[in-house]
Amino acid sequence: MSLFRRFLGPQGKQARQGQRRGTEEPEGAGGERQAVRLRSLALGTLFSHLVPGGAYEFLDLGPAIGPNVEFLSHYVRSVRVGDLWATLRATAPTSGPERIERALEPLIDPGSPQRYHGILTWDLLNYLDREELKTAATALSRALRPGGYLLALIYYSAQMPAEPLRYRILDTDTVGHEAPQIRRPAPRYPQRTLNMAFSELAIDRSYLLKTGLQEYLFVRPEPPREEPGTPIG
Amino acid sequence: MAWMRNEPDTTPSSPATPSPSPAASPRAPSSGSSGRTERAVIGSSISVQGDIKGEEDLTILGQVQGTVDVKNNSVTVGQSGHVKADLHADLIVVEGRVEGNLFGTDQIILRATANVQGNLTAPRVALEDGAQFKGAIDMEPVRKGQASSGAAGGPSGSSGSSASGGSGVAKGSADDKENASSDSGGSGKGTGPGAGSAGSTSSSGGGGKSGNGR
Repeated sequence: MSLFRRFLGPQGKQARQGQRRGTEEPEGAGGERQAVRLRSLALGTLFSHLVPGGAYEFLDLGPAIGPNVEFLSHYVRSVRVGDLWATLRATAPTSGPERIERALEPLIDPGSPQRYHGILTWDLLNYLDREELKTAATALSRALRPGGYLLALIYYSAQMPAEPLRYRILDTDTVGHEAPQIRRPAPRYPQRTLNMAFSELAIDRSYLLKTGLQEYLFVRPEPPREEPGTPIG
Repeated sequence: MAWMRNEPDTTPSSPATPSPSPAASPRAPSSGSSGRTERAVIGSSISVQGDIKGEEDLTILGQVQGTVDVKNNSVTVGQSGHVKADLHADLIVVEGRVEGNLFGTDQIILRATANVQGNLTAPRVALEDGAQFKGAIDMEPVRKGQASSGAAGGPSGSSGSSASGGSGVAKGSADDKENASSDSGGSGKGTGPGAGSAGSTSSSGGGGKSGNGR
């Protein structure tokens, strides 16, 4: 049945064992495919908040990846696949906040704000300039429910892959991606910049990985509880 | 969950894969081993505008604009197929291009060559490597009635069903934030204590995951 199993391969389980925290390990000893396995603590934390079989709605800004859909299907009822990078690439000559607004509009559905319980941006935010980042952060924050989480991977290393990576969820706290061949300078957004951009969200967890990535798990704070006796709107 | 069902493998290896049938043959006999006796084929040179309804399997190799509703049967959009329509079927397999919403009562499969823009609603959805897809995937089962009730999810965009997502949602108790977000400065920086909780997806923490009190 499983594309997921096929990707993991028969040694998948053994390979998972002995992983060190936040490390990248080359996969596929045969060299047939340069793949990297990454322990994602933020993803693990996110999944630890979910109840399998829940009725969550997720937005995945990455491309459509079968194993991700399959994996998420154990937890979420609905996942919207955005493939934002493809959309942005299609409008390549233009840049700026407007193209982000246009690209995100069909995904965040302004008509029903705060709909998503989880948003996966993966490493996409690194490929936006500061203005675009701000626009994207505002739009995505508003699409998140109170108590919902947003995952972002930010490079602190000087170099990053030329394009966003295609992350495959291999386990609740493990992702895989192909080894990038070409690199380019990373904007290295500091936490202060992210905090300002995601001003409506708070950082729930942040993990500095050895691989040049910092994982952020943002959460939209719950509104303060109503005082007893206050009529429920 | 439907994904986990260990049913006899219904992966439509044979019925779903359209054999390179003659371009314009209106109907091709099928093996009939699954009890389905006939399979209609819209050949690659055929262009159809309007609604297609039927009670047999359908393979689309040409162009279709409108709606396609074959109820309890399968629809296969072959590699040369280009469909601008909502598809309603038991099993939907896409190898070509579809712009529209897909409603499968059993399963939707996007093959590696597929290019789909629209929403998918089915208990089971499979995307093969290479499949291009943009839209929402709703894993809620499609009830038989809904499958053929026309634009159940409305036009593309947010599938109507997702609007109901508000109910019955359990959410992690964000109460267990040792690294509370409030200390925005360096909250939880470093490979910190969350490691223990990471990966524990078991419902053990379920106690705190109350049903959406919102």
